Amino acid sequence: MRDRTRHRNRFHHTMKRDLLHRDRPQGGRRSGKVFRIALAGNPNAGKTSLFNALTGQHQHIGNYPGVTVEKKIGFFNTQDISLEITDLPGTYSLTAYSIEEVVARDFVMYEQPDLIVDVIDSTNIERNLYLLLQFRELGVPVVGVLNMMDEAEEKGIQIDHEQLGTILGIPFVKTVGHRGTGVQELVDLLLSLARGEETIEGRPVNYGRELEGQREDLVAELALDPSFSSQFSLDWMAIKLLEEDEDAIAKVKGSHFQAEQIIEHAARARTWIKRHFNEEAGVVVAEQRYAYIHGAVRETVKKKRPRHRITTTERIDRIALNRFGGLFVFFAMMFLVYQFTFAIGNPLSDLIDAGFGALGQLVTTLLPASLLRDLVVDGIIGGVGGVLVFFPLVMLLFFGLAFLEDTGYMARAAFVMDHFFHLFGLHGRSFIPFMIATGCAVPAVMSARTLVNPRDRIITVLVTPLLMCGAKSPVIAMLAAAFFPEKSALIFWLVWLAGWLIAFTIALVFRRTLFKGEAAPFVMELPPYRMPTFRAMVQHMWERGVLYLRKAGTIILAASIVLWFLLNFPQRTADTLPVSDPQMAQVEQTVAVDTAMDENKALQDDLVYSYAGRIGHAMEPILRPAGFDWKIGVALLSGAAAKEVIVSTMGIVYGVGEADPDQEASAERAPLRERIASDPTYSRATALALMFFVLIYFPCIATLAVVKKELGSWKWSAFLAVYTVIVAWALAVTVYQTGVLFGLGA
Amino acid sequence: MQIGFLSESLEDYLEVIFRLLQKQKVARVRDIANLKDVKTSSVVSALQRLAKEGLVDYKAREYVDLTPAGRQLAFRLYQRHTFLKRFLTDFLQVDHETAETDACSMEHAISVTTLDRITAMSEFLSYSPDVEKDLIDGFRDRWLAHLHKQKQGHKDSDGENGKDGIVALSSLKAGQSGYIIRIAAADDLRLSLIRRGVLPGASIHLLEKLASGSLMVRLAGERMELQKGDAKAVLIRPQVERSSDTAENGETVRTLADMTPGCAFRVKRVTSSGEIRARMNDMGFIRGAEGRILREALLRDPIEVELAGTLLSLRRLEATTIVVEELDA
Repeated sequence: MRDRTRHRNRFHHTMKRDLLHRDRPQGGRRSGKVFRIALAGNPNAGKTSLFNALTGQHQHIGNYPGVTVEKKIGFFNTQDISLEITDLPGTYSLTAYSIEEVVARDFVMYEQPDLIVDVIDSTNIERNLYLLLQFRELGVPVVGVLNMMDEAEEKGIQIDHEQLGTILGIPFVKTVGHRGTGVQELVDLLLSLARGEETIEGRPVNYGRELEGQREDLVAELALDPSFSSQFSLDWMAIKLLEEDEDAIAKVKGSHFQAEQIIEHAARARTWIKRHFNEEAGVVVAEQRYAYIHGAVRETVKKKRPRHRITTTERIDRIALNRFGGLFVFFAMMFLVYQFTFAIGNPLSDLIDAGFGALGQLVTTLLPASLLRDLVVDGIIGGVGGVLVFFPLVMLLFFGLAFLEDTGYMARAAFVMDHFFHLFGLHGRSFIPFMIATGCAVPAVMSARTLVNPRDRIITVLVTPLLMCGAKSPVIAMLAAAFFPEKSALIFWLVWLAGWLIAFTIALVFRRTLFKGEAAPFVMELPPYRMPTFRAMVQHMWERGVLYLRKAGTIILAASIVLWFLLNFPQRTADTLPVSDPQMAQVEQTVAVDTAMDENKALQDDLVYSYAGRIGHAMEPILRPAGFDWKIGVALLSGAAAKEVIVSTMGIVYGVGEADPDQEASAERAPLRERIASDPTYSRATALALMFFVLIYFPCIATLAVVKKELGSWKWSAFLAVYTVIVAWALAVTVYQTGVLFGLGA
Repeated sequence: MQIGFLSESLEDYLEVIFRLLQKQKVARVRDIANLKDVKTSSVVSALQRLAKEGLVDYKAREYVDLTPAGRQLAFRLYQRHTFLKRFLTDFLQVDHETAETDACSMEHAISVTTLDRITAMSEFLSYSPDVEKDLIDGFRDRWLAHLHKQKQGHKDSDGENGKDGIVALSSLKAGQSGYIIRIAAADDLRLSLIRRGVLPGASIHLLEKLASGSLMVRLAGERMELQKGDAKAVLIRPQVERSSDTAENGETVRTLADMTPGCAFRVKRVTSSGEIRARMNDMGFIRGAEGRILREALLRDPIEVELAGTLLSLRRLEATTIVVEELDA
């Protein structure tokens, strides 16, 4: 035990600190002891609803230290005791192949909860017990919850849970989580275990004489290191070594003083098993586990003929997964989610945008003109507004996604689309982020969490921002309208399509280069259709929304202020003019001829004088091959905050005042459009190149912030920013030069 | 025999404590006395002697622990015991209870030299390097079959194919495998075959019979052609069980990907490895599991399968790693 404290501290550090301050029993009532429970189970076993039923509102969401796997902790308090319940990620097994599984088993190993509650989908008891047995091997007492008993009975499955408990040496409780049936019995059992009124004997899996002999030998050798044996369950470790579990091997190498001999011993044992069973040791272990379960189930579970020969799920799937009809159902569902997100979300976003605009106006009139006022209005109010405009989209999208997940349709959507997406090295579930990205990349990146495999998730996150989103479209529409007045719609749709093509191509390139190797398995469960509860969907939506505000919001706000600074500093004073740069002076001259309005001129001068203006100038030589001058450079810089800002910044640099993106994109008469269409430095080749550049380059700051949050590292955000700029530049240069070659240069 | 300097009885004590500590984390004097069936007083005196040697941690208390040195020594004793026992069970096919008691007596009775040899042989037979794998497996299978037959009291005898079911390679069907038992030919032919790798003990797989009468075989992982005459001289023991599931051979092996919607199947074998294999295990694709193919997606990929009551989807590519037999729906 002493040796464990060191380990526990390392893993505990971040979590413990949080917990002590926020989540200890409410109201400062810290009397009595805390009984720590880990809630485990297969995905779709109803773990979440049971967690909610147990803990109510006393929940706290965070991440497991060092990984992006979410961690929820909840409490159940009584007079004398507090149950601290940690929701482990839903898994089918405890291999070392996925982060979720490693997180779950590491939590049990290092945190040593007092009890594991394993939630079982009673309609599929054998596969669910497979996980339960693996948890028990970790050396912590386990309680089994036979959830979804109503569905099991519907299917004609009857479980003698007491007999099953006797055979496995584990207490079982029957529940129907979403109705709350059986929850009281579970609570009673947990409390009496917590008070020590009951104990669980526990009985290890018997793997049969051959495997047990090999395991025993390994355990004997593992036990030679007392500090190792105090950290890990040796029975578990020995089985994992037989399964050739890489994480277990690493743990032995890392902390056992006789690691080499043990690794060699384990290899010999595996050879022995392979000779004996004519099958890999890992498979033999799995088969023995199933055989053990099968024996127990045969004694205790009766399967009568189900009441209905064809289940409701099968009835729905005959349409929803029909080879041809399935596609229509799929697009209908996606249309529904898309419309729900954007048809409701966009007006709300506009409302928030307008609200913050009005607030800015109000502050402008209230405060005297000063630097502070500019900071408050443009930096802070603008920045907070920039965070909140995405809020309704994120909330609605996750409500929609929760609907898809909870009904069981999400896995089917992946089934329908997988073949096509797999051609490009993606997963069927990548469709959702792609679809959402045509509206906005921020919720799209967040929705990539429906992809379980990290490689699929990263590739999807890296390419979805290339699609045409709601912010890029006014810029591209404006350019199309200005330079291709007759064919503007066609040009717009071509660019839109190009976004998809480029995204898929780059996905394929990434799969072939950065993420080489075997594709992640697609083998997955298609859960039975279930009626989602409104409460669960709202809860999911709310959690996502809050996480977005907390994690991404702060980053977006900070970045907006930095950008505001670049666009407004240094401040131009009377004596800093005239600008000495001859080129700039010349530009100002031409602009001065074109515009009469002083205010527009002042705005323009301010921008030219700012850091952003200077950077735009410095960038000109690089942008020249794409046909861009420094003005475009400045506009593109400002687009880092949000792409539609490009239009208004262009308005300023071209001296027509702040242009309205919507007006410029579609209205009959638009000052900026006319202004640049008549500008001799602009050709149709330039416009085309610019459209492609805007489409691809630098995802907005908000996107980078959520990428950081979703993938857990700035590394990927930086990579995304850099590679998109390079691709955009190369593409723009190609388009421009080709355009000039075909006579679009004038 | 002794490892190190202890008397047999002290070695026994050490082993007992080691085993107790495996099972229950603490060893009590009472438990040791129970297990050894002696009085606590004799346990205490033994413990005091062991403590003097620096092997156990015992200061006239109830609980006993091993020192690091004691643990190492006890482990070596334990290893010696299991080696002997495994030799008795695995090779001599002695039942476990007898093996347990015999190993106990043997470990004290035989000399270091003999024990070393037994250990080495047992190791060689169990974990020999891959080069000799076929040879050893062939030997083992034959030996085990021989023992089995003895136990059955020579019940079966197969007159037609010579004794012990040994046949000429030429009489095998394509797709069957066997172990080479011996080469019945004159010296020069035998030598030339042996030079080509046709060694007694090696496993041989008949790929096909060519029109010319010669045979294509796979031997030690390589394809090779044998003349009809040569093949007659190679006597083998056909391998009944393994011949039916040779995936590499490609014939009559049906995988899940070959089945059409509506077919019921039973899993015979899963050939993938690594992560995909682990997922297959988790989802219940294990030997003997039964299921049914429900449907395919638009481009016939992925497929939906019902397995033990749950609905699963998998890509066709993944389905090719699941060898199945078709069941009547």
